[in-house]
Amino acid sequence: MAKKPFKIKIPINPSDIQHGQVLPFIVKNIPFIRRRWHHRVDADHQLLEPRVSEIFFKKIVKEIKEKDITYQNIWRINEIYYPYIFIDVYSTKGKKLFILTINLRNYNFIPPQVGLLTPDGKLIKKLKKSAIVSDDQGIIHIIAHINGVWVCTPGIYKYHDFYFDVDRWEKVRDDLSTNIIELINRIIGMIDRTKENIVEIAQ
Amino acid sequence: MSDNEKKIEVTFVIQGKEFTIEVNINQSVKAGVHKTLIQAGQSGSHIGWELRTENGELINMDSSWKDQNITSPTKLFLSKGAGRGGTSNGKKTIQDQNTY
Repeated sequence: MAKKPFKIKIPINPSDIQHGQVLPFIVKNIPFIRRRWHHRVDADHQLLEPRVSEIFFKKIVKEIKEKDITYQNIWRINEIYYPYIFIDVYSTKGKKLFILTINLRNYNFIPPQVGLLTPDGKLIKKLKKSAIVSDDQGIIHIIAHINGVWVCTPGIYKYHDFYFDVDRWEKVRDDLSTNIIELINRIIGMIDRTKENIVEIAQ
Repeated sequence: MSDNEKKIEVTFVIQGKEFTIEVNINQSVKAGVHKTLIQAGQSGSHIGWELRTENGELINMDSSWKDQNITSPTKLFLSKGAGRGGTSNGKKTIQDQNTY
């Protein structure tokens, strides 16, 4: 017998709906709603006219080139070509630890997509647990995922895709917290650079 | 000069820009952070910010410079913390529990 399609019933109390809100985005006091079945996109879906995203890309590259000298003992630019930026990240002993990739194909309509590569360019699928630094609340923000690791922090594509309805990229894309230098340093701060070998699984 | 009055120069790096201030080593780190954030045109509150050494070690902003073994001129990196999201030992975050 064929299974019946799963239907979700959301009891909606008008007082729980915020002014101007588009349902079914945020419904307060509902512990479980399958609201994350939205249309997922990634940089393979080229949403933004390249001439537009290239303008933003050039702005980002200019900022990185101006400021990378300050962080040269921590990270340095490896390679840049539209829409990618590759950042070499170094251990505290000066050994190349990994490469941070930033894809700005649909920026700033969509947040940057990031990935981690081994120093020889293989996709890192999982980091060693001992290499991941938790925040002051004991939360870790780098999680193993199907296609490389997932960096779960505001300003990164996968975060805003997952928290699509509560943390909208459009609201924070001009904030200091999502500035490219901030993002680079924040991601690097999630990894223990005193370790020389941080990779558990690479492709 | 007694140890109670010892002052050092600390350079804070915020978004690639350097801000150098003089601090008393017995004062709390966050006092210096507040001062720097105001100089950098930020709100002045240390909440939501992380202070790290070049080696990536997190500095406790509630303790004093002396307690953090910072008693000579140094360069530190100030950036926004990871904020929301993430996971704790496979459990969903507070945000997940409330909204998922």
